[in-house]
Amino acid sequence: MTKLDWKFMFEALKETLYMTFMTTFITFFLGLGLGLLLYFSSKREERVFKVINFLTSQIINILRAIPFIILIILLIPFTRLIVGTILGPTAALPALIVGCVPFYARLVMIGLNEVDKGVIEASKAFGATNFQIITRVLIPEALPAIISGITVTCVTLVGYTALAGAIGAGGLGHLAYMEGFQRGRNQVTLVATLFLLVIVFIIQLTGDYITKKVDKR
Amino acid sequence: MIRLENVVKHYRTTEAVNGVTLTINKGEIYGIIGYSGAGKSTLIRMINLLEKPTSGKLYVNEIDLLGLSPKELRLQRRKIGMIFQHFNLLSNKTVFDNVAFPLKIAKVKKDIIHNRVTELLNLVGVSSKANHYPSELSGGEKQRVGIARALANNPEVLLCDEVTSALDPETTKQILNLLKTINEKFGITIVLISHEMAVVKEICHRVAVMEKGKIIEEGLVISLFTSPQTKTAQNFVKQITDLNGDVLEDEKLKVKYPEGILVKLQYINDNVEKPLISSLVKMFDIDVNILQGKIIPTSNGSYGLLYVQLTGNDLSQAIKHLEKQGIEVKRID
Ligand SMILES: Nc1ncnc2c1ncn2[C@@H]1O[C@H](COP(=O)(O)OP(=O)(O)OP(=O)(O)O)[C@@H](O)[C@H]1O
Ligand SMILES: [Mg+2]
Repeated sequence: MTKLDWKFMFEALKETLYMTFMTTFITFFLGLGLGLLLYFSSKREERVFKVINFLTSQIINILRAIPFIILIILLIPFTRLIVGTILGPTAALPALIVGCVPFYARLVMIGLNEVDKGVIEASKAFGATNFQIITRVLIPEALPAIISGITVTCVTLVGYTALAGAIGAGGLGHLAYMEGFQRGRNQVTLVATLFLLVIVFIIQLTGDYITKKVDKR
Repeated sequence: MIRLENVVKHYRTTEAVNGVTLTINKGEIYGIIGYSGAGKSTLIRMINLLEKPTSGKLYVNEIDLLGLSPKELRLQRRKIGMIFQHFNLLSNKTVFDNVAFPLKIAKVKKDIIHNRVTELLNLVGVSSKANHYPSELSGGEKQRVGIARALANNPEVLLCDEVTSALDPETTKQILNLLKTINEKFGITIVLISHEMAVVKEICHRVAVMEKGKIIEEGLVISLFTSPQTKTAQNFVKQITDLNGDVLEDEKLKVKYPEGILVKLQYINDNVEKPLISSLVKMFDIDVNILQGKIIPTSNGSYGLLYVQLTGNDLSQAIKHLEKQGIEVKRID
């Protein structure tokens, strides 16, 4: 049995963390925005908003229905267009983001729907603008759901990075598949898996902790 | 202060408010009473345009709210405080931040906010809970916070929709007293909705009875007791005047006390010389036997209800004397 190459290992870990962090960061804002759009358009009677709501919902449903591995393949031309290559961690970002945003947007919308209507009404009665209602009422009140939502998304995302890694994105998934599986080095697969598990645990524990901290209900 | 002219609100299938015209004076506590579904909430929510009327006119402080731009409306709303049955506090903000909320919305300076909130929390008696979250408060405390928040921007009107319905009777009394204090101290006009006569009679000066989207009766609270015009008003009054306990109905009273005459006396206490019964006995050759009764204090005087048995010789003179004092005398045969 050959010795583990720790340098490779940490390089892969760094790539996985990079993909996870970047995607989470972008997903958080895009998902939040999309979630708010879904929420507000579902509350309005006007035709425009109904159309917006219908289209957004359907796009989200379709994207969520496509298996991630297929999504990566479908997005290859798009990725090549904007990143210039389809290999490496950065090239994985478009697919990861497109895979995560719809999922998170749904979770955000569910969270926003849970916010007590009475509280929103009270804010209106006190003369709040729509923007103030979003920033001072909806988001703070839905914060536990927003954070637990990003935690769930992030855990799923770690799995996605591994999958993306297997087909060329780099990271621990790539290492486990190319070095470990293809070359029959079980040790590498095992350690890569262990690393992934630790990442997931840390994300989950941190997310749970913060969610609990901000939830005063 | 508040004027509604033929205000109508129709939802797709229901006609929630069906042509309401009313005037609420400055500094008044105005009650609106009615059964569930009468349209009370819809009506009060139109006063700050949380609900937009289908038709009609609406003035608060002589300002035509329906003619305002969204921005002007938001400014006007700051002068109309509102408190709610389920308190509607921000669950993830402390008591302090909840009360500060309308001030932050209005972009008031931070140090002014601090002073104002402290003052308000003292006023409503929850200053010790400033750093607690709503989930750590009792219902009564939550409503106090709701009241403090509603007062933050020094409103001229306070709208209250069933604000004591989620509270026990003792807490209800305290909250009503607080509202009364606020009304007297700051001259804030209060509109109070309830389905309980006990709440309305406690603090309201005038009251409107609402049914099927219409106001079917309106007047001083005491007048509602002495002369309710509609069946609904009578039923609401009965919530209070019903002599609970071992009470006999009119017919049974007559059987139990066959001698002399039985009369039901209704009066407004303030109009009657105080020792009513004893003076009656002294002035006339009669005996008075008090069978059952109740005296109900309202904001415009006390309403008295007495069942008495009169025996003796001067019965008709005694009754005349009572009537001369403005007491409504009804014979039970
Ligand atoms: N948003 C709405 N859409 C459709 N119908 C409504 C709406 N709000 C109220 N209604 C209807 O209007 C009528 C009056 O309702 P409202 O809430 O004003 O009654 P209420 O007197 O406040 O009753 P409660 O004492 O139960 O609170 C009811 O029949 C109700 O179903
Ligand atoms: Mg109601």
